[in-house]
Amino acid sequence: MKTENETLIDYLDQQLTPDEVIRVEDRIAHDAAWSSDLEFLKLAVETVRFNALDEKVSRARYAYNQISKSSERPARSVIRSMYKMSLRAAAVFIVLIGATLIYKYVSVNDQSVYKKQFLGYELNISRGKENLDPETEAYQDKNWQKVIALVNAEKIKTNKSCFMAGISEMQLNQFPKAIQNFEYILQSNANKGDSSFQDEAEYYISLAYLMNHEEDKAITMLDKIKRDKNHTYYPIASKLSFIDLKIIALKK
Amino acid sequence: MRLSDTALIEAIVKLQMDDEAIKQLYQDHAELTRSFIMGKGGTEQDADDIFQETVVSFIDSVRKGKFRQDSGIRTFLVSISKHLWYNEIRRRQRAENREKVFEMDRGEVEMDVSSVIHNRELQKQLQTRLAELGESCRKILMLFYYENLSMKEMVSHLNYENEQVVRNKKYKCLQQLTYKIKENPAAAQYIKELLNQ
Repeated sequence: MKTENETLIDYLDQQLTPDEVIRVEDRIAHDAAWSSDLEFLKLAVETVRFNALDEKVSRARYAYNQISKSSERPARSVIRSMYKMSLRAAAVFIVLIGATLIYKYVSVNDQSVYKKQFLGYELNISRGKENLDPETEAYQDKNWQKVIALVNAEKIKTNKSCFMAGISEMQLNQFPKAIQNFEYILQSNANKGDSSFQDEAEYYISLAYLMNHEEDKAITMLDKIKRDKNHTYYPIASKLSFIDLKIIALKK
Repeated sequence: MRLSDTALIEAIVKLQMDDEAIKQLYQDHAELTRSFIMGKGGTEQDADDIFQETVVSFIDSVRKGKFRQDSGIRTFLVSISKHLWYNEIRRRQRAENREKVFEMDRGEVEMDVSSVIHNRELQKQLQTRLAELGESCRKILMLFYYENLSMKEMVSHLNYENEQVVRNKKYKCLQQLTYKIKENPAAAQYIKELLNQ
């Protein structure tokens, strides 16, 4: 048997039969307490929606700032003028290219790419939110073990908690476990048609694959990101050269 | 894929691709707002905070049908940002600077967006009450009321035994939140005014 308040909630959620709706609307029209309770329930639902939206925008803000900062980094390469290059200079150039390629082949590996591409993910906590959940607080404190323990103990796992656990595993060099967390997000989104933490999971799983010696999967995922100019991590992934990826593929 | 203004509004209203829409709002408009806030004495952090609030208020107003497309997204966003920043200046009680900046720029606010942002302060207070419920309640309510998951989907997503268990938990969580909101004097006043209209 439902309580009166539960009936009102079902009315708000549009879960009542037409007859029940008529009865509830009649009661609301004539009972000030019901009318007031309904408005409070509406405000509660609005609060939930605001919170969810705020969290989404907060994530977009962080991603935007991360990419803005990344694109502000000065370019390292120097473009040289090639005008009037003599045959000798050309030969020197070819030798240099060869040396560079050899150096690249020797120096580029899963580890070096990972070090270059891995950015610690900082959660963006919006102003006025003093009450963080324990896993977010542990994540903020960089207490990776605690984050993992809390998320593992959770009955309800969200994309956010799995993502925090995944990054924590990466910080502890536990790449297979990090992959499991990111794969959970990707699978969950595929099932629900959702995109929560999708871009983040795609980027970080590609790095975790690299470190787990699953180069084919890593390259496939990085290629996917590099082809999508609207991907949050496109500006970072696109800095990874075709040659670097080829070298990794050759070395596997 | 870039969205046209119309497609962006549609994505927000239908809750489809809203991540894409939010990302595009940042890519297209965050810098302009940042320049404005930082040009009026704000820090980079202020500019980021204000733009985040602006985007939330904008999406909220679109979903409530308060945004009229003929005003243009950029104009609307800039107006919300200006209002929020002036309110922030007032809140910080920088009396001397406030009067100067506010008086100087009042004429620059192109449109009246006060109705869009008027209960933002109340919402900020209520967010704290929601956080007090704990993470499991917050997740259940968010999945149902924001992600629009059905009870069946929530059972598989949250690993509960059956739909009735989730339904009961959701009742309980929403009731707890409502009680907490009722205890908030500003919320009580807001509802009182609403009922007297």
